[in-house]
Amino acid sequence: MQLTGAQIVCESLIKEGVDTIFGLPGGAVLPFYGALSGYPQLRHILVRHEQAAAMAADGYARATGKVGVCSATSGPGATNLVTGLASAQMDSVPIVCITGQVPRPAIGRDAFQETDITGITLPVTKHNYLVLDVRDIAPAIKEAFYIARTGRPGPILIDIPKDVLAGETIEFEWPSEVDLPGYNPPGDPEPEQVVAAARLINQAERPIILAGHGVLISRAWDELRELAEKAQIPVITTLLGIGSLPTDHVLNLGMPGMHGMAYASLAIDRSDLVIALGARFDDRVTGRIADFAPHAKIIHCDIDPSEFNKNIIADAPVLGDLKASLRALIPHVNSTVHLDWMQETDQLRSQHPSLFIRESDVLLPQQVLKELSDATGGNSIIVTGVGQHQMWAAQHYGYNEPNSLITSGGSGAMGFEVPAALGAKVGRPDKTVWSIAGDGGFQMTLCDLATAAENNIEVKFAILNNGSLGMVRQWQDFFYDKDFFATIYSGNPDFVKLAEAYGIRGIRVTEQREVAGAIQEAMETPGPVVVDFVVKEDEFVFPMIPAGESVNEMLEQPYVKGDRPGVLTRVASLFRRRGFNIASLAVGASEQKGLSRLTFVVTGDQYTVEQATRQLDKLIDVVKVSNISAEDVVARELALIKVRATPTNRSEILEMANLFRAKVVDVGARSLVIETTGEEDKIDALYDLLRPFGILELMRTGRVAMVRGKAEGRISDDVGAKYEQYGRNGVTSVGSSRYQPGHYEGV
Amino acid sequence: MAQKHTISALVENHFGVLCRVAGLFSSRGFNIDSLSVGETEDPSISRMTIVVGGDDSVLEQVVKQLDRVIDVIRVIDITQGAFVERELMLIKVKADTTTRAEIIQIAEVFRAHIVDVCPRSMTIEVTGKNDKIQAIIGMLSSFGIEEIARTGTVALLRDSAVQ
Repeated sequence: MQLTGAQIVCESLIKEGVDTIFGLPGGAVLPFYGALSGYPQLRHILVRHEQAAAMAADGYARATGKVGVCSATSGPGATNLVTGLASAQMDSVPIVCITGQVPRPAIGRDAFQETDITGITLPVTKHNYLVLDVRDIAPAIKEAFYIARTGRPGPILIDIPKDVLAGETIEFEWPSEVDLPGYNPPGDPEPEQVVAAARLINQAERPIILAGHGVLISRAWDELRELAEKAQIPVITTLLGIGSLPTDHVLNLGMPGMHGMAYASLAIDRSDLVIALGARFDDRVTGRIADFAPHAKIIHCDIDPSEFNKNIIADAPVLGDLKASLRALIPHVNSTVHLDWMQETDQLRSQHPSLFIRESDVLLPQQVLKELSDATGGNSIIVTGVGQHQMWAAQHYGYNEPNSLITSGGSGAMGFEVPAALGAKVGRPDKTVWSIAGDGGFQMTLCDLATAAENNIEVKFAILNNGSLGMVRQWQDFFYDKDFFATIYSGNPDFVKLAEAYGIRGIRVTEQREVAGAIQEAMETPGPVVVDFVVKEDEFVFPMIPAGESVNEMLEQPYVKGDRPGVLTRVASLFRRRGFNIASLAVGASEQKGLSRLTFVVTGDQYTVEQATRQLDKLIDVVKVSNISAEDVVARELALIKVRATPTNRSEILEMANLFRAKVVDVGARSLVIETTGEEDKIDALYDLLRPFGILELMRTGRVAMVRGKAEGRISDDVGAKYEQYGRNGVTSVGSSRYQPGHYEGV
Repeated sequence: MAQKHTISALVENHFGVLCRVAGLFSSRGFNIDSLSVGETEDPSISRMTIVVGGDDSVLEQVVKQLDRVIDVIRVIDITQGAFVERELMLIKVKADTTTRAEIIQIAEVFRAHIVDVCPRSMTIEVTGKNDKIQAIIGMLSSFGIEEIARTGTVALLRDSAVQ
């Protein structure tokens, strides 16, 4: 039978097992839609923005493991797909997009709604096609699906001119195979690579597995579990690897990276072997590469060889499909246990309760996620947008199953939360799907609430509404001097009324005690539901490793119970990375229990001192900073000097010590140790006098200083009380500085 | 001074392949010194010869990223291997009665051909390795170079069994 190009497209899609297409028609693609309406086995879901079509196809693909399909018209319809394509490309998600194009004679002449979409999408698709002959349609579609779903999956775009869709008719022939001489996705790994990796695993004493998206794509979660349990190796998951091991599995050590749990990042820092499975060492995971896993060898199992040595040098790369690689690897790995390492990681977990949610009168967003996790038993599919709420969703929901967190990771495309949730629910009608939205991202794609209502797609939308572009606001708070420019959303609509305008039930929650009831009500209401959780505006995502930093500079939330090691490191490394020159440093207990006092002497000009003071103040652990250079201070330093002494000159040395009121604390056959306290110049003077005898060793504490009389640096009573209550190990610092030109007024 | 690597890639002779490869290079930040594409003995396959600047880790990424492109069939780094490398240049140099003879002599030394003579200039065609091309440019520059058109390097491994 003779078919048109458009009909051939439909037949080809059916051959590839497609049953759902998300799309929005237009002039150039209308012939395809004309044919589509005659194919009831291909369900078309009409969206309200093409971006939603691409993101819905993405959510559908991640939830089902099948290839997602979307369609749009030429020109602006096609360009509206780009954000969704770019997100799918970054996260290795298989989708196929069919776009209409202007007729062939019009190409290149700036026709109406013409755009070179194949040119535009070259860098954001795994591959793309401009089909210029009706005979090429079926082979292109067969190839497209093959390329999309094999190897490292990715998005494919097929651009078909209108006169190819609606022109010549031909006999439909489905090709028997694909001919792609340049495309050979790896399968089984090389035995040498497997053996080399196994050897490293068997030798390691502090191994850790980094499980990424590849575990889910390759459906290798059983193999991951087997490997982890056989050799008792703790598992951390990247954002996209969440769900590859249940959150409550004893070996699951959480998520590392910029907003990962502190214990996960610290565990990598201390490990001697990182086994990366289907992870690409994204900068959000590694932080500053030079300081990433400084003591560890790296095993890198991946299907894409271009990831080896791209960001991190792999000591033992294993190229292959992950499931096959793990199956080959496991028999070579010894069944063993690393007790000391297990204890160490457990200790890290208890020392850094990163998921601790404090008490609050105001509704906290973290609390919403936690209650949702409890209410759903960790069994829902969670789809998120991008921002603070995304990180809280990754942290506080207890994911039990693979493919239960669907989020735009590599790209971070806001607005993902609405359409991807629709796609996920359409693909998995059996699961409860919650869309966790930020009020920022939600407003980018909320027009597709209409799609939800029209098709009765039962997604439960939870808006964590803080009236701002939260994550950006957090960065402004931490790094841009709290200049909240362009991040406050004062014009938000009433989301409940908005939902009702779409014919969707809306619920508002403003108090902690309403949360559980609202969740319950949402789940019991048939059809889509929008819940507007009005949460605390200026909440921060902790922990945070700032961009370009390492775990040494990690910020953890205040009000954390338990030991807080690392404060000094944090302060010292602040000084190091800003290039401030510390002449001396002294740390000790202060008058306030739980708080220590650091005294620095910093050299530099006025600008340096100002900067040092401000940067110190930004550290969460630092309670108060005072620059007392200009004040009337009492300053002292302690020095121990070991000087060479023979019986002939010993008495002379002792006399000198007396003059300075220094004490002799040790006498040896060939040396004396003298202890002296005083101002710096007194110590310098004694040192100079002793030098001719021969100084064997010198230890100085660095200056401690205190303002005379008015107690400038003292910790105020209310601050003190707060720290009593929380038993927090914070730091207060009284800095004094010596500078060359100018005069500094003090903090 | 960054190293230069010569890469030979066999690609499917599809519409847009050059664009794909060029776009790949620019989006990954690789530095293309020269690029030439031409047919091979199989009309459905073209050969691209690309000279890239950068150290070994850059080269490793270049080869792998190129290989990922669906239309690219095979990528070989031929910098280390024994290979034949050639480039073709047309160079138009200022020439008048006083200087013409000298220019012709220089061309002879380089086994270059004169392909055009005009009252005030002369166009010379020369083939050879990069250093030979550089040398003749150096020799002719004092006369005043009007225009240069170069193909970029093409290269083939000496062992023909590689195909």
